[in-house]
Amino acid sequence: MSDVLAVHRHTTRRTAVVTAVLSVAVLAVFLLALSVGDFPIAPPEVVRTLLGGGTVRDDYIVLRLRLPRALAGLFVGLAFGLSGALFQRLLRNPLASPDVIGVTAGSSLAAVLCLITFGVTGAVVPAAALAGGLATAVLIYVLSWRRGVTGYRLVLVGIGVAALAASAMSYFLTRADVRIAAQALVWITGSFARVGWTEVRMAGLFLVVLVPAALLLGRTLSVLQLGDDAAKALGVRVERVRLALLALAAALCGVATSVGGPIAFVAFLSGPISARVLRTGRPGLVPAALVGALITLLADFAAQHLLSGAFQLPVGVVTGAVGAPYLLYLLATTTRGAAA
Amino acid sequence: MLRDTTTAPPQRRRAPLGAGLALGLVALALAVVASIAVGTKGLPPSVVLEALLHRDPADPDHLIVWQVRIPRTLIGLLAGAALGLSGVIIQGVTRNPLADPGILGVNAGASLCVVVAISVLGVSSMTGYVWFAFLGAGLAAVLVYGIGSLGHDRATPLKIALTGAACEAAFRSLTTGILVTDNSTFDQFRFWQVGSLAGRDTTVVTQALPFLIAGFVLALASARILNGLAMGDDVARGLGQNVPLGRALCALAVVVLCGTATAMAGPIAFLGLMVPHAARLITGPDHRWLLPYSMLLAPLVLLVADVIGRVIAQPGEVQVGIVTAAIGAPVFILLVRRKRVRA
Amino acid sequence: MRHQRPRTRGSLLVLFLGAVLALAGCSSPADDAAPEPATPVTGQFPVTIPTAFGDVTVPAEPKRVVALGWGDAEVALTLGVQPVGASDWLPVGGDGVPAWVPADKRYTSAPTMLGTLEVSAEQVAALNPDLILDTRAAGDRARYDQLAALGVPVVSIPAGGESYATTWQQQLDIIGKALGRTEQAEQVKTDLEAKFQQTADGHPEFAGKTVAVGSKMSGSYGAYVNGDGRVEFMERLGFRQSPRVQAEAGDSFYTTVSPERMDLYDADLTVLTPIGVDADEITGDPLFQAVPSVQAGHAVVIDDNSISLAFASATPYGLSYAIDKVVPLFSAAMAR
Repeated sequence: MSDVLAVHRHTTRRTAVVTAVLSVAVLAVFLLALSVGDFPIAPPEVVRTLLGGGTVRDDYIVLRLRLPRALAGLFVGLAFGLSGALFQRLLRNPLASPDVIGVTAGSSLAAVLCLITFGVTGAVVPAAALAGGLATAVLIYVLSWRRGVTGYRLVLVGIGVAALAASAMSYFLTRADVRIAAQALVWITGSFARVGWTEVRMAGLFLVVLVPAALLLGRTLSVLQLGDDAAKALGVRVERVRLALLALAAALCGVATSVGGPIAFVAFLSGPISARVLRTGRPGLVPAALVGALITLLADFAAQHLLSGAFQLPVGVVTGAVGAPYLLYLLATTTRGAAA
Repeated sequence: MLRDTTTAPPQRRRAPLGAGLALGLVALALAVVASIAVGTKGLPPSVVLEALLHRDPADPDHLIVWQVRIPRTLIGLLAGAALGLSGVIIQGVTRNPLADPGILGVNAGASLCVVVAISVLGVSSMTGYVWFAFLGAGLAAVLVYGIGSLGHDRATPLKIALTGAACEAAFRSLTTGILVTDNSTFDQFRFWQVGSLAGRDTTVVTQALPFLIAGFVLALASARILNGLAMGDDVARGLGQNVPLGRALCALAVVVLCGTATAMAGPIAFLGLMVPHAARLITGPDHRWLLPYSMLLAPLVLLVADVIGRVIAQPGEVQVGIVTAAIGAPVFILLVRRKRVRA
Repeated sequence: MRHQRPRTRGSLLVLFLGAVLALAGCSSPADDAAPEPATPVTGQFPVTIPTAFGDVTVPAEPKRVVALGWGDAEVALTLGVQPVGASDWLPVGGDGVPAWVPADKRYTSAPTMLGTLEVSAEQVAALNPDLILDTRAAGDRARYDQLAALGVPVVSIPAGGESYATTWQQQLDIIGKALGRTEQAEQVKTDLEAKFQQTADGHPEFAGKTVAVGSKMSGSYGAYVNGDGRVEFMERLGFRQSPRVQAEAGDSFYTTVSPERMDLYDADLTVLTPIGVDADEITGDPLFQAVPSVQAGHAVVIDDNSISLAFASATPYGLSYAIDKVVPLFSAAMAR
């Protein structure tokens, strides 16, 4: 018994340490994103501008360009990381991230339709993406409902829907003028280059509601992990809780997509990375969210400054290149055969 | 009276399955006929027959049959069979129903190599793409399997799946990075990456044939190994199988088959994922039946999709990669809803 | 139980320390010297230009111009103004100026090269511009908002315009007004239109003949319809669009052609451009060779990449270069 307690204490301590380290890292990269750029602005001046005492030039750079972009990276990363971990734990399959099961594909398709078929740009595109993602989630749920929803069927239906959305997008991408198609490609990959305060504020408002709800409800995940019957015996209303968590995860995904597009791979990578860093085999929700934020912020930073100024990369290009090698390193070096 | 149930069921099962296979062959033959007879330009059957029997090189209609329809039928048959087989194998090796042959990074690696070839080396012919696609597929698979095998627990199915997906993420990121900064490469690549049977002639087939034959042989021979792996590593070992070697051979089969299919037709998504599920509903989990059924079903779907693609958007065509997903996905969802899906 | 040191802590630290160190010297100094304007100002200031995002007023002659749209930099150079920042869409490489721009119109001081689809607003700000040109672009509202927040007039696509559909005449007019070089812009327009007219007059064998213009990309053929730039080019030379091709048009400027329907390319003249493939992928294709106009020799496969670029650029100098290069080819094909 004392061994079990010892392991539990060790795990809790490790989780706390990792969470603290991740938070510090996220903060550090956030500040870095605010001070580094074509106008290098030292951190003390950054703080001064944030408090309202900066020059006009510093104001434009920090408050109009860098701060919304950094906040977008933070919010989107947190939301995707959380959403991915939730999906992966609920569906008990680490490959089942919203990228794979069609939620982000629905958002992308809605955006591509706006950009290519209707030729619309501007604020309509993120709104359409949000609506598309939620509609797709609903569609997947409805299609997989047959006297209840099993995780297995949900995932398979989601893959079918994702394939459908992907084929529709390919169709549009090969029919449009190459420049419009390239624009759509940038949006599908995910880019923060043109975020403004409207998108960030909207996302922030949604997240203030969604994140605490997800974390609170997420406490029941460990009970659900015991299996449906055991969970029911412990008084958890399995179907309701699962539906609520799925809805929250889909909403988080939709909000994140509405800011800069479906940033590829963040949702998929955060869960497994946090699972291996924590060495528990299951992605903790808060660490996964922080990992997502860290990946996104680092990726956006690299996307802006890695190549010379004429080659600005959209952030979605770099997230895979940043996150995947780290996951591979963890896969190659961890000795514990993690079950998640 | 107790019925002797130990011998009856397998025999009862085998007959319908055998008949089903024969039926599948007939359906496939019909699909082949349709693929040669139907096209964007409506050719009356008499003309098609004449083209097949008394070929006149100066007749443009005969040219269409021999230059366009026969090569794409061939490629459809071979690529379809390859994808169907590799789909079954990868799902068996990783014990994950979400796995498709691309999960070993094969499609993503092939795409990356092709994009680099277009962007950096200026390659611009279909036959040029073929070799780079091969190279990319092979390198990716080596990387995935190599990294997945590191660490104490070697190459567990889960690790392979995750490693493959992570590599896929990395490759796709690099590919998109090049596409976004190089507009002319994107212009070329966006057509290749959809997956199409058009625009390729028989040299592509002759290049790929040796690899395909090797892959087919390897794949059909792996039925035993897959049946064993499906029951778990320990049971398989108990049955006397060499698990790591078996897994490696299976992975090799997947790479060869999927890599070749991608090299010939571009990355056709979803077929390798969907067909094994559909086939499994008919045959059950026994790989000795599952493999041949997938080998028939996949080219059937592919050829039907190709024919549809030729007809719905005249005078243009819709590429087969798009149609396969467009018709396959609803069918797949219907199947998943109707039957009790098993792992 | 031994408590293992978390390896992740170390690697995370290394990660962001590395990032800080690596990017410590990553700032490009703003280019302070403005290039000398080579041509006199002939327009009026302040001038108001209607754009898709409302009227934009340019208060005074711009000295530091940033040209972001497709062809904007080249048009600015044509009018004698050197931008301090430019995007290279074609791409050409180097300073982004294609080979057909004459030597006296090229840059004397190289501009800062900026992104195309994705532009770093910080880089633009670092150049201290007083005018931003984005006249042939996607018409993206978010991009406009971000650049306009700099407080600099941003001239986007014309009101009622579509993505990348700004014509060369519109582009010339707008940029001429914004730079205060309206007379030079008029002159360039008149010269090019006269050149088209002269060429058409000098080649009566083109008049009224049907033409099918298409291209081959990897594995698939297509044809240009609905007044696409290439079709319009041919029409100015006296040709008319093949009615059979136009009959197949959908909404866009381009329609795909199945290899079984190559008969659509049959016209008095067939013009094909290979895009990203070698020209022999077309000339060596037996299905192409079977098209009646090709058999008769009335076909041109444009294998000179610079001509394709010239068509794609849709700028006055580019179009002029294209005329010089392709008309002899067409002439020879019609004569066979």
